[in-house]
Amino acid sequence: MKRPTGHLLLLPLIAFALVGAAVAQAADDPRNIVRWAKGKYIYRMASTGQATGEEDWHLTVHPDGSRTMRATNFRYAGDVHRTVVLRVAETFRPIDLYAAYWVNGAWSGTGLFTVTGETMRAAVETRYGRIEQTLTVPEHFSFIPHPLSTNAWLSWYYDQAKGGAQDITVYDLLARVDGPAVIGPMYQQTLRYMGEREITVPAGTFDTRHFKVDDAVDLYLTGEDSLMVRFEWAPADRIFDLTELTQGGYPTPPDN
Amino acid sequence: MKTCALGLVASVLASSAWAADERSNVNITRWAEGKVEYRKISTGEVSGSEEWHITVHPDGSRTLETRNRLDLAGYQRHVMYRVAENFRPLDVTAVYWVKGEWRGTGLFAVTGNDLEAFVQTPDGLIRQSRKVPDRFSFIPHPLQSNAWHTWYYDRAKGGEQTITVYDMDPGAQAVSSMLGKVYTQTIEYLGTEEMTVPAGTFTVDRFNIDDAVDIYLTGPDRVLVRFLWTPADADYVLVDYRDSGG
Repeated sequence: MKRPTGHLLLLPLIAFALVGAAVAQAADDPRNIVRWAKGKYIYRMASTGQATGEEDWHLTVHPDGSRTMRATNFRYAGDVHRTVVLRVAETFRPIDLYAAYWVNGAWSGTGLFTVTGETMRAAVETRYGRIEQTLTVPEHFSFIPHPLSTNAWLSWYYDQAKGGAQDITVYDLLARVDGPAVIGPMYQQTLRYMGEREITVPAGTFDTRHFKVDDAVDLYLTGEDSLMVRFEWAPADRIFDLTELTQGGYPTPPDN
Repeated sequence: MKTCALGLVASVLASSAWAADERSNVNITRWAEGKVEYRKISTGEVSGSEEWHITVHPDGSRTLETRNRLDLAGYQRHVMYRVAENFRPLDVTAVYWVKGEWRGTGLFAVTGNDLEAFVQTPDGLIRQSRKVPDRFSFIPHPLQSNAWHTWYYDRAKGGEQTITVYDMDPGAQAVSSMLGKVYTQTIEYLGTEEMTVPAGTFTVDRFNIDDAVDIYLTGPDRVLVRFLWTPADADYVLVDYRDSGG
């Protein structure tokens, strides 16, 4: 990661780090969070710049290396509002996922998906009743809950040494009003690593890893938490950019 | 630095342009958010904090997202709580961490008088199906989520009244991690008053629970302004507040 606007916070962060070290020693190991980040995306039409949606996200990283990403997005087309909490292991393999969807002013569903070994279990409340699903999942897979900060964690098992096009497996949650929502299909996509690239977005300038998904989406990720900087979907005339980024470490307030 | 300054200017300009074509979210009719500081009454020492965000939807239902931390105990909780327009629980999802260890993630869904719990813990998946009364509420433990117990209190009747709560294990200590116990408490409405806290001055409804806790709630979304738990030497105070009304 390079020169994000958040670097302006370095001085207070250093101060907090010094204070934090003292606090951490005094307390009885309360550190459930070792670092955090939060940011915003703007969804736009690539050709006109017209806004098509927005997203707020907040990441916490825990002592065991696992990560919790909570995100809320609002896609103007269809008036789709989603709240998602995705937990992944240090490797980025999914652990569990909470998703609540609203479509055009009406609640669509609330679901919890848990992953233990090769088994994914889902309990989803919908307007059409409760749905439960038990599915065998591969070691290598990821969720597509749809807020882009959560969709971006799909490259964790890509073999960069091997390179080229590689298959990835995704479980894609559905937002719909004409039937049970949130439960989704599992399918494969193709991922290709395109190299490192410096990207400037409103949140700053970042060193990113550039991936191409299905020859349709250009995905730019940065840092050890694979934060999405840009998601460019040319066939759909869409571009999604990081507009704000703030980061810190324990126990930097105000984030808990 | 120069690059960054230019970036910041560009960001501000671009943000202004984008703000112009932002669209209101038809799924949300209003929102509020705040921060509660946890203090010891005796010393004023801050022992934790909580940040919460409420969205109210077109059908009147509410979604509360809240996260709290209790530093001395090492607790970290993240709760998503949905209630109907009348505040009856719809579902709650909770994630608990204690002293650096994940203790469980659970979905508790209510349909009619049926509560279905689906809880993943370090020891495996736990299921619970049980009956709940028409009138009850959850205690997921972040205090704003604990503040919605009064929705069926009969003010015309007044006096002490019994409420039913489903109380999750606050530390998720046992093998039955996070599953709750159902029990009753006594609640009494003590009147309306004006209260000033760091977040501002609010007209609040004061309730006493079990002769131990005084809670002060404000507005149509029953925002917790203060939670005073004298026997536990704990005073929880709203220190930041914003809402969509400006």
